[in-house]
Amino acid sequence: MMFIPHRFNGFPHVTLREKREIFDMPSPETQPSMPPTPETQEQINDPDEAMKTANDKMQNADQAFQARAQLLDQAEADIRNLKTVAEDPNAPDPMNLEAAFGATENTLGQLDAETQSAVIPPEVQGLNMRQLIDQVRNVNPDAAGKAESYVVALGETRESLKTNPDAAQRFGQIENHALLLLQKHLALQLSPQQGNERSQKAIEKNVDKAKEIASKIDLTNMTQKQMNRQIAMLMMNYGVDVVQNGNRLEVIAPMDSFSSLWNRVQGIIMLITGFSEKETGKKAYEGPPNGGKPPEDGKPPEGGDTPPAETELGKELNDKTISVVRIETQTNLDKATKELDGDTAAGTIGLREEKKNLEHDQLDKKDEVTRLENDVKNETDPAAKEAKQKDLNTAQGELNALAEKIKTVDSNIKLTEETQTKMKTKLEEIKKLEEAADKEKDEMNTQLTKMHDDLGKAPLDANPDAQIIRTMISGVTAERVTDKLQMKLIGVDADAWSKGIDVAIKNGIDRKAFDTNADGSLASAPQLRSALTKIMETLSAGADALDKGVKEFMDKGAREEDAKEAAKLNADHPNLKLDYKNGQFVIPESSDIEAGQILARKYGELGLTMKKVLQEHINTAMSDITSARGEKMFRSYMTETNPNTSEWSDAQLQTQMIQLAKQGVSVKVTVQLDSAKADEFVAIDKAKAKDTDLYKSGALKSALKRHIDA
Amino acid sequence: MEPTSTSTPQPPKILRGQEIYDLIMSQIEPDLVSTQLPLLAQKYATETPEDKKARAQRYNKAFAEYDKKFQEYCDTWDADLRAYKRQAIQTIEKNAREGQETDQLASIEHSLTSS
Repeated sequence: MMFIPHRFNGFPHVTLREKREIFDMPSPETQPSMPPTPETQEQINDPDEAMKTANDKMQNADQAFQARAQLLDQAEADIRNLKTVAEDPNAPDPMNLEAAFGATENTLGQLDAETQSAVIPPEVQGLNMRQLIDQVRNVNPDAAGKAESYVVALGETRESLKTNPDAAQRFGQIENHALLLLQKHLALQLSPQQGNERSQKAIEKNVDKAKEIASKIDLTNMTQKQMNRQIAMLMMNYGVDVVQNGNRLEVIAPMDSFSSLWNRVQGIIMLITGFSEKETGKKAYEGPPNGGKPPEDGKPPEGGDTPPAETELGKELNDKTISVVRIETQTNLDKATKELDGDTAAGTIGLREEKKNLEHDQLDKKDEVTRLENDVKNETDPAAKEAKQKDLNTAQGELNALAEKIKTVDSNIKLTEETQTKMKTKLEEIKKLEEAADKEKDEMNTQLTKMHDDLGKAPLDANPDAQIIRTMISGVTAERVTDKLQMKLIGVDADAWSKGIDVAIKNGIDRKAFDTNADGSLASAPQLRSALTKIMETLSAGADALDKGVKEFMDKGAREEDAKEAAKLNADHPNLKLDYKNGQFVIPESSDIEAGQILARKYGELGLTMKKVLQEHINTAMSDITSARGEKMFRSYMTETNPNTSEWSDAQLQTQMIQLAKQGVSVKVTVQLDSAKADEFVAIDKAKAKDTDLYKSGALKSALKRHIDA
Repeated sequence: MEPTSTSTPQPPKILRGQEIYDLIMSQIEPDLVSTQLPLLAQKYATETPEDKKARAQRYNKAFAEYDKKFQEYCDTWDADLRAYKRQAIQTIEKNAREGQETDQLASIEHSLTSS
């Protein structure tokens, strides 16, 4: 790979990566080289120990700021380097921003055309850039890595142009446009067939053309800047890789459609910023070192760079959604319309009329000149001849002036004709934009129709909460609002909406998601709709399972009321596996402890039938003490601890029972029941225990004693 | 014509550990400032055991507060460093561009006066 010095606003030799490092220093939370937060010191018991603690803290502060001093030194070195190169009188001139923007816009237009028929999957449309990239990472890690670099590079360029407001504003439009294109290309990665077909056609065509153009470029007498521009133009217009080979530029076909896009983007950035190293972007993010898998434990991947989403800039870009680009589309439409109006006013009708009149005057004047020439020729009186000659001179002067005027009008007509051509182009542009907007609206309406259809198919009585959410969602409708498609809240009565919000919040949606804009539209409608739909589906699915469970219990002979309660317990606690056998509810052996805990916690909430089930379970637990499993565990416990049981009081016995419970014997159920509120093992409170009749009966105590005595 | 130059922002200061400690602790517990520490034994020579215990508790609270303030100090310093780098590069860019514009203007003026 060649090295090409580059320049941004007067900074040659400063790579994009270097600039990024300057702009995107990690936040304190992610700064690896920063010393950790000092841990709270041990408490002092004697004020005389304060000296030592204070010294420790001074030392800690010293260490922390020694590390920071290194960072500061590094920062100052970076700044010095930048200053040196900025003031280098031999540095090449910056590229012409205006020309670069013009060329960039043309290329983005071409890219638009290439992806015009690309179908963006509906599920991708509500995602922000970060989510989209994460999805692509599963399919094409390389493309995802490049996309991240792309987003960062655009962001950096925007950041770099901050000191040049006009360029920054113009670049902002280009950036939005480029982000939409990136989303389209990422979406293509999710539809490999679409992507492959496109890449075959586009790459072959573009490479041939680029080679043809490159073969005519001779670098012999070119300045570095001129060569950079040639490379940038080839990359930007044809998406090819370009390397220098002697005095020639060598064109290399990109590997796939995404590489082609990537090269185009690199070309665009080179043109706009003057950064000339094609490899800057590739260096900026080499792709995840672990084959595209997300880093474990939230740590950045080793080697390579921290993924750009970790930076403030990355976070900012993550918030960009397709809706941003919709605004841009509308802005373009407005702009085009305005220009068209202006151009129409400057039409050629008046000019052609003026030319016609001037030509008429010219003919008259020519006649006059001819007549005066004859008069002068035929005049014999010297005084009269002189007077006529003067008239002739005047007429000829006027004739010449008319010819000049006609020439000027001709020039204006030509200019206006060019404007008309421009108008025509603008009209076509508007037409395309309108078509795109209509298509977008149609897609949105199709989605809404599908959503309403889906809602209509859901069982109405499945789950009351699902019903509430369904009512709520059915009122969230798309509407075109000024400059973009938005979801507006219409046709829902306030009560249904309010109930829906309560249910949604209960199911994990943040109340802020229901904030509305000034025009009544929901601030985050697409995401909210998606979340609500998911909740409704979950609730409906849960309700279906509940209905099924109730039916099964009733089929086995349980009463409807009991069956509903039991099915709900099973639905809430899948490990419970409550069953109905031989006329009563039972808890399988495999889940007794777990089930006991659940039932114990729920004891106060349970209906009478379930309390009976629990009591039954307690009885089972007691009998477990004498069962083979309980005995084995008990003996194991006794062997390990070897307690002297002969002198145990009741209290000690109870304590040991708790220990037993901790070992997993089913006594745990009993203990849990007594300490249900605390949700952990605590000393048994006899006063509470008597409610269960457990200790009052003494059955468990007897059972334990039997083992202890044995 | 000389280019207009914007002054480069100042970097955050690096203090020694003792300076940082005293800076923070002086606002929390004057007893624990480094210059006062060696004098404490004499200052509280006649202190009762109860008072001593209360003082230990007060110092513990002061050290805990110091830890908090120290972390805040570090965070602020880190933010200042980031701001310094950003501002510095923006200033250099601005100066560089203004310099280029000035050169261009000088060139135009020269061509006008010499024609």
